[in-house]
Formats: sequence, C-alpha cells, structure tokens
Amino acid sequence: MSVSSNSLAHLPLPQVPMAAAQDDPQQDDTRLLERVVQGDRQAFAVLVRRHQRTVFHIAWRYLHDDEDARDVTQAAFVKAWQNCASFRGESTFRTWLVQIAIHLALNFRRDRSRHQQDPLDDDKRALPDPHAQHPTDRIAHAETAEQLRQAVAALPAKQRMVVELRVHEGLSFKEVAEIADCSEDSAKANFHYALKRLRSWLATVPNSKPDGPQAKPDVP
Amino acid sequence: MQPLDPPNDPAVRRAQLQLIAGGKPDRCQELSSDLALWADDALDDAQAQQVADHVRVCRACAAESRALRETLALLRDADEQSRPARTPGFWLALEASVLAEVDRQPRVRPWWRRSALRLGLATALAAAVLGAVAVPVAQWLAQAPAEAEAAGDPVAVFGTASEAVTEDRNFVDDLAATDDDPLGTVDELDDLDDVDLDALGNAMDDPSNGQGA
Repeated sequence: MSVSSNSLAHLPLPQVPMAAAQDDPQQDDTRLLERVVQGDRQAFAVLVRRHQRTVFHIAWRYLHDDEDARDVTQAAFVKAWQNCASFRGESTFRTWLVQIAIHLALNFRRDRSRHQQDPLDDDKRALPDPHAQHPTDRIAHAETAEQLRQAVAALPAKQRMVVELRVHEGLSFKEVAEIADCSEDSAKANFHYALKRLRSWLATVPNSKPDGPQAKPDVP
Repeated sequence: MQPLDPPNDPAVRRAQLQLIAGGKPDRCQELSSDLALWADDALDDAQAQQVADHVRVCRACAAESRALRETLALLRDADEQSRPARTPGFWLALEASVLAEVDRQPRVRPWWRRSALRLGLATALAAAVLGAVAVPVAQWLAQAPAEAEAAGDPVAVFGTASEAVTEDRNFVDDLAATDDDPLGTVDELDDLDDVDLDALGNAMDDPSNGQGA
C-alpha cells in the first residue's frame, strides 16, 4: 500500500494559469472564500495552494500512505468547494477544512481497516516499548522518531488530535478547540496531559534527554 | 523542591515548610497544569510571568518545564523525520490533482439559495395557503342553506329576500286588480302620464271634492 513519496510527480502540472493563482498574502481566507462562493475558481486555487500541505499532513498522519492521504486531501477540498456557500463563517476556513479532513481521514481509515488488518490502527496500539531499541542519539535516530510518533498515535484520541494540531500544525488553541469540538480550556488540559504522558514515556527511554524528575507515568 | 533564594524569602520558606510536612507545595500544584502551556509559549504575559517567577525558585518545576520543552522539541523533530521528504513538484502535482478533481464535481448550492427551488417552494406555500382557505369556504357556502334551515334560520324558513319581494308584488297586483279600488289597477296607474298624476294629486288635495284633509 505504501507508495513513494514522489508518486504524484508524474501527474501533470496544474492547468490553471499559474500567475492568476498566485497567493496574495494580503487576501485573507475570508475574502478569498467570498470570491469562491461567487464561483471564482482561481480564488479556490489560492486556498488549495495555501492549505494543501496542512490537509495532506493531517491525512498522512492518520493514514501513513501517500495515495490515501492524497485521496483524502482531494475529497476534503472537493467537499469545501461544493459546500463553501453554506459555510457560515463561525470558524476560520482552515479550521473548517481541517475538520473536514480529519473526519474524512478517520472514515477512510475505518473503511480500510474493515477490509484488511490495518497495521496503523493506532488507537489499539499501546505505547511502544522504549527498551526495544537502544538508540545512541535518540532523535537523530529515525527509528526512535518513529517510536515517538507511535507514542503520539497511542494517546487517547482527543489528546492525540490536540498534540498533532498544536505541535505539528501550529494551530492556536482556539482553532484546536473548534476542530476538536471542545472548549479551549479542555484543549489546553488535553495538551497538558498528553505532554506529561509523552514526557514520562520519553524519560524511560535509554539515554533519553527529558531528564526531569522521574515521575511515574501519570496518565489521567 | 529546593530553595534557590535566601531562606528568608517568604515564598521559599513556605515551600520548605510544606515539603517538610510531606506535601507538594500548593504553588507547584497550582501551576502544574500551566507548565506545559508555558513550555509551549501558549500563556498570556501575566500567566507566563507567574510561572516564570515560580520556576525561578522551584527546581522541581524548573526541571519539569525543561523536560516538557524538550519533549515538544522532540515531537517536532520526530514529525519532521517521520514525514517523507516532499519536493516542490509533489505539491504542484497534488494541487493539480485536487483542482482537477474539483473541476469534475458540481457545486452544491445551499437549498435556501437555489432560486428555482425557492420559487417552487414559494408557489407551493402560496397554493397550500390558498387551498387551506378556499376549500373550506367553498364547502361552507355549499352546505350553508341546508345547515341554516336545520338550524332554523329565518331566511331558510321564510325564503330569501327576492322571493319575499316577488310575493309582495303579486299581493299588490292582486289588490290593485280589485274593482273597488278607486285608483284602479297598477297597470292603469302605469298608463297615467305625469300630467295625469298631477291632476289626480290636485283633485285628491282639493277640499271641495270631499276627500281632502
């Protein structure tokens, strides 16, 4: 199922005039969306260019497959294109788009796991055994990075979502709360517990650096 | 927790006493949930200052915040490493595929913005309102006489106004047709012209003919 990261490179370049789709940073998403509602496809192309990385990365974290992540990215933008007129503006466009992408990715993963034993069924996986490997340089070692990624994937669903959106995508807690459908305080509390849990896990990894007080794993 | 400042600092002294008593200092507990946010630079200035002030005097919380900060850095590094490298061409190709897919899909207008649907809904609503009002009225009109008669309505019992007028006219005609009427029949009256009527009126008003007031 795994596909080369450059598997999309053979696809033709965008058919739109590139100059017309240049991203003007002065134009915020709201204004672009107003143009999209009027049928301005070039404005939508700017939104795609602006947010496709975020959407793809989020989808990829849930699916770990380029082709699947691309399908989810496509589907998320198509859904946004089709339904932008009904977007009420109660959240930012990015928040709305990420919500769509996460929803689609979770559905995609669920459907995939119905048809095969999904090795990436993260929610059923326990924290990786930190003693399974003995990396000398913990984070320079790709396997340890993968272990840490697995540790994130093993977090409770909401904690995982908060960590990924906040740490990896750099969203504000307000945006994270909107996407996770919880209060901002709840998002911050989930972030706090997730980070403490990961810190405790890292403290058990040989030669690990988060060498604060060796607290017992204090999973909420 | 170990004091970093002179022991005469009240905050440090209080923390020492709490440690001696075997409990976790209140301040550490208060700020515990803020350490992760502080490590992520997610606190506002006032909250960040509170945590910074505490961390300066509390080694345990200082170590904890360092560990959390490093955990965050490791998370970011791990994410970067676990992501396959993407070339600019990859993103251009992804954009092209997304837009190509978008072009294949029709736009969906929300139902309240669809003009045809809106017109249809308005027409249907108007028809429904009209039907709801007109049908009962028509039924009522059709059933009213029978119901009124059953209810003892005078019109139903004595007939309509036009029927009463016809009956009255027939009665007047019959009365006028009698020979003992000095004015003659109604038909005869109709034959009189205005002059005749004036003469008749004058004659009736004349006291000399014995019929005046």
